Amino acid sequence: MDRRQALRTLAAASAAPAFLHWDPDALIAGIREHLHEARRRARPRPPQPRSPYEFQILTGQQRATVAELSEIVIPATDTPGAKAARVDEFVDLILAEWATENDRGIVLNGLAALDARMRQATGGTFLEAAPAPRVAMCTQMDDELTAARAASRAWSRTAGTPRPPDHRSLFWHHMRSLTVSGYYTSEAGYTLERMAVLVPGIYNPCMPVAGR
Amino acid sequence: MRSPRSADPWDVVIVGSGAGGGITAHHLTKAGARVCMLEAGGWWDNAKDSAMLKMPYDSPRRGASTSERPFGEFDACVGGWSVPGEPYTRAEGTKFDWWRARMLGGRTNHWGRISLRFGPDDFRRKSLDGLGDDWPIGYDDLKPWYDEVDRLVGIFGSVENLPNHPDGVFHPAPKPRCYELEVMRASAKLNVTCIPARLSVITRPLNGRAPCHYCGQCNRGCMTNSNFSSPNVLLFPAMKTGRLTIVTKAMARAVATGDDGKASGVHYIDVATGEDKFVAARVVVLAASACESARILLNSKSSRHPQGLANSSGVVGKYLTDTTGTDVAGFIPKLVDHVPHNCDGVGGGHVYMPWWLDNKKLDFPRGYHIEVWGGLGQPSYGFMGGIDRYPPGGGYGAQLKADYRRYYGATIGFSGRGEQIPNADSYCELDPTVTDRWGIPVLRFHWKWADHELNQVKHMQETFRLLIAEMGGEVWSAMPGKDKGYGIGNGGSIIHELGTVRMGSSASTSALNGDCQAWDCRNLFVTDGGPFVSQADKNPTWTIMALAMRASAAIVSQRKAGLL
Repeated sequence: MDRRQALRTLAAASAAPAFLHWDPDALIAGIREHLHEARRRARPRPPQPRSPYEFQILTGQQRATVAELSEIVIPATDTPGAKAARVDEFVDLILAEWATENDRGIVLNGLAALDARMRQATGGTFLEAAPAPRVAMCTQMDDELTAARAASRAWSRTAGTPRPPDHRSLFWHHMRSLTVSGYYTSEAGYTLERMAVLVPGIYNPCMPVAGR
Repeated sequence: MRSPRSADPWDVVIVGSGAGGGITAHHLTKAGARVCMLEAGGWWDNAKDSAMLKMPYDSPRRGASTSERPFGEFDACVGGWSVPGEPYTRAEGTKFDWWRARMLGGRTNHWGRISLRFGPDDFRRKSLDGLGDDWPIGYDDLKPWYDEVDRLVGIFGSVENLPNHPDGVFHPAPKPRCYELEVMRASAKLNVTCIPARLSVITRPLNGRAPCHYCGQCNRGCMTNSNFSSPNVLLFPAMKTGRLTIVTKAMARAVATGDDGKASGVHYIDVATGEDKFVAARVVVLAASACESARILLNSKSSRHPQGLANSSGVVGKYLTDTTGTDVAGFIPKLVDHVPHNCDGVGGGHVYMPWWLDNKKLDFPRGYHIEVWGGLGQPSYGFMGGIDRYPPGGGYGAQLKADYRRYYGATIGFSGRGEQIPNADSYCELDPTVTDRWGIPVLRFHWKWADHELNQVKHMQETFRLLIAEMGGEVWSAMPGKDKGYGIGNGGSIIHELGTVRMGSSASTSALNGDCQAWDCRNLFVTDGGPFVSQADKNPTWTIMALAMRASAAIVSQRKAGLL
């Protein structure tokens, strides 16, 4: 591949905005406008022709639970959320291909424990629960993770005390990390949320804006 | 092309296709030699095989690492710290990790392309402070070859006239990125020298190659050949002479010697079939990487060379060093909510800090340089881990999403890369019992950092923390204590192993002379990291290539004089 071809491919990967002439104020305004526009236009793309993902690890119930949880972690706002980015498929692939036995166990057992806890609180599974108790449960898990992390940090500063349970053994830690990895590497996460500015053909580093 | 098994010997056989092997093949084929190159791994051509233009979502795995590619599935380099079927062992208590590349081009598919010349002092450290050894050659001997490598391969940088950090034949360096300007400002405040980086990425057309288009993905292999990797910049042009034949999946195991003690060729395993094969040559060049070349020599025992080839002095495998390394990153609040912008640039830092202090006033004898990282890299698996450490402390929902927008690109990190002094406790040898999948004896490593290195790394940690504080930033990890080696990486983890086939001024204390030629076997040369007498506060690749080119010139002139 020659340079011209490479640039053409890069250009095809992004809508090249019309601020290629070099004026810092115009550039910044242009980028903001470009992003605003890109986000405004953001809506679920028409279904792409592709072979459907075949789940390898998660059962239907688990898959739906993961999808709901991921959307709570990264909801649709002015950009699509984790569900639209199909984070559930990513989670399944990671569990199937990469996760250690231990990590896979944490996620799968965590999903079961989540339903058990929800049953105690509401009498039904996570999927059967209304939005409010779902969110309440996530808040509870998030608080537990924060507390475990704080305990772990305090322990690292004091010698001789027994080590508290590792916060990385918590289901919520895995669920959130997997969602974030899956979302920000998806097309929606990368091109819209991540604010990718692929400006082919120019590289201009940071410029002084004030006092020109 | 001739079959590599032809009974008629080749002029030269080269083991290894990386930086050293690439330069040697390029130089020798241009000079008219017929060269056969053995490469343990498979074929690779960046123009066709690179994942340079892939987006993370082009793979369902989103760029996560694989066993073949520990630096991520889009990374060019096939290899790693463990290669299936090719074990190595460690003496008890030793922490050492040995990286092997298994592909055409070797580690030139992996490296950060930081291309620093050694300075005049780096060749005569013992004369200066009594530690380590002097080289048998000096900077002036290598300077013309550094210049030649600059012109052939291409490098950007800036002329600075700093002592012991020689300038080169540079293309213009790209301007600093936004976060790098912050680093430059903080460095100036703390009197740390911070200058444009020196990378083997071309910013002007060179020898038919296009300049960099600044996509920031050098590590994936450059489809336009704008950065340096051995196959596209050296080997393919060498093949155009019609005098280079490359045999891939050929695992060299020993150098054969004749009754006269001279090298007669190389025994290798055809990886595809497991068959033991032989290629005959008038000159043998090992460029298999410092430790692999030492292993081949130690495995080349004969009645004339009972301790292994080129090892009558017993130094092969000894004096093993790696670069010291530690990293510190900080959250820089003033970079929060910055204007989104393209800061891809080249695939590496645009600035760096060469060693700027006088060791006579410090409690460690050798220096280090600093590499800088930050900005808005393409997200991949593990994106922005540790969000809990940013001000709101993690959470979820719209708040978390807003936090990622705000904090992306608000981290700056520093990596120190310093000089280790060779010591008696760090070396490799053949393991007496363990063999690899083909039955070839493997290496056993011994490793120990001295206080020289530990105190140096402590200084790195302190300096990085001062720089981050100067930028108004916050470091999340506490400074590691001496019990943790001040955060020093394992030996081998910086992938700069050197010194195992050292050159010297006497056959009794070194394996090679100043031309990288074996004292015990005049038609055997080593052109990888093996010949180095010492590390420096610089990355070794550019010096490997300058030494390889100088050795190649010696091969040509000795051959013309009928000495080989």
